[in-house]
Amino acid sequence: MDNIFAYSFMLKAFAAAVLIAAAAPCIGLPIVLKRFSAIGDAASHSALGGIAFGLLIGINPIIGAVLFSVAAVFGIEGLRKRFGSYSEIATVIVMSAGIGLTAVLSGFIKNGSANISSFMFGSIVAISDFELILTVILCAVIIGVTLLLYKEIFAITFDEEAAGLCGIPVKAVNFVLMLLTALTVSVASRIVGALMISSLLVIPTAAAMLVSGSYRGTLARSIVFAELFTISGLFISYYFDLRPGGTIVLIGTAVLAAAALLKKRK
Amino acid sequence: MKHIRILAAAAAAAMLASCAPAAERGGSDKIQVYTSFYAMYDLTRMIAGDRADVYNICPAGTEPHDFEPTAAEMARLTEADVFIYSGMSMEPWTDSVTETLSDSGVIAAETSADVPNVTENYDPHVWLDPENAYAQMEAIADALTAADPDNGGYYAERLGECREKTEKLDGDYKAAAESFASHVIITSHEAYMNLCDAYGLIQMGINGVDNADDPTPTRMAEIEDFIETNGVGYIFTEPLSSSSIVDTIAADTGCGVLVLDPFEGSAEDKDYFTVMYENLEALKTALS
Repeated sequence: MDNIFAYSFMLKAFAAAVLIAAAAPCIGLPIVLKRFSAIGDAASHSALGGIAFGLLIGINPIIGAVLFSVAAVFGIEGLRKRFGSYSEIATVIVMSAGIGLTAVLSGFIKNGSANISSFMFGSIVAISDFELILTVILCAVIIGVTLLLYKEIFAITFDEEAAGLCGIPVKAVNFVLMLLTALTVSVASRIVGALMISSLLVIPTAAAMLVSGSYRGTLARSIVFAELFTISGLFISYYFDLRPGGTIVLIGTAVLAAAALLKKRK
Repeated sequence: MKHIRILAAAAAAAMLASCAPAAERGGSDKIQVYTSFYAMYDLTRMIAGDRADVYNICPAGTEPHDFEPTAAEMARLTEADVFIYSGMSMEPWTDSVTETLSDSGVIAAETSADVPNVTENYDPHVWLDPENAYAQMEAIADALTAADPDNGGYYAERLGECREKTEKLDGDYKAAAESFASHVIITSHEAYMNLCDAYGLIQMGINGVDNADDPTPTRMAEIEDFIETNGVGYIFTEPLSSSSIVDTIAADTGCGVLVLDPFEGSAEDKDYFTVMYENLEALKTALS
């Protein structure tokens, strides 16, 4: 009990948390800047529906989550254009559909409640080797693609038209960004929970935006914040007997509130 | 327009039919008995034999703590003669329906109401103590007899057979418990307080009594420490559970995993005594 690193489940929890905290802001910053921060919520609620679907037909629930959240983000993209300047409605519609699907599908699963709730709030203390490998691959892909398309993503988050004029394939870059969002949410739902992952996408970015000016600075600081929240969250949940997912999110919101207050005083 | 009238007439007829007394309904002159989940279904069919139609509402394999009946199921329930449930918050949804049922003349029996051994924490899985299970069967027999006095003798006879079986079960558990080398069981779901109290065991639950949330890291560490300090050879999971928690603990500590069934549902249609004897075998493996 004294040495937190004596337990292999805690080592895996730290490994997964550090990786996800490095990757989540890479997606989080562009979607926040694109005024699209609710997409994580919509994708994660749809991912829950996919998890229920996966458990129902007996495939790995993460595969179900990937299918449903990919469908969700592209559904949002499709719907958005039809609502013109009210495009955020699309996010809410898809999220509602996701919640409805989860509620109906989970009714058919044997012993479903326990399983679904472990996906809602995450099972960071029970990560299997397979899930850890999946997390490593996913985070490598996210960080790699973000670095590779750094300039392109930067350009389209501020001005899609100008980016298009400069010869950037706007549609393709958006497509990649949406796909990565869906993948992040699906894989992270097993680890930190579907209800928590959208907070990890948005809160570190929001906190970093309060204290930095440039895109590069915000991205770097949001990763620092995300690492700070998840690592301290795991320590605190271990020593104070709290649920890790919720602890991580609450530390994030507390730091964000403090940063907002300090900023106001200036 | 004509079609609409025909539909309306048919609907009205269906409603009238649904209000008809039990004897005129559905081609069966047996009493219609609904049970809240598999354990109650199984105990009820042991008493009812072939003299009543017994239906289970919460499908076997579904977690009874979180089950909610659909509107169609509620409608069927109000047409029943008897509704058997366990109570003590085992099936929270019954709280809101028992009043509706008594208005429609259904005899509702809370079978845990008079069990002899209630645990300190009011663990609702009372049937895991055979003495309690027998008391529940008595309550079931009473309810069936109240709805169907003509077959009262038959129900009493079947209850008598169950009495012998539960007494033998209790005796077999007591005999085995005396030879157990260890008395601590580590279970994924904290559902075995009644079993532990009856036979001098101590349970260490990974999840709580409602089996919903994963443990905190602190709890995980405590359990792994306990397993390593005391050389625990096996931990228990439930049938149908796909929780990765038990697998994680087993992989970390090298202990084995056995199934201990709280008999909330059985996918293979096993009866109470079969499951209780399977549990006894698992306990013997883990504790001797």
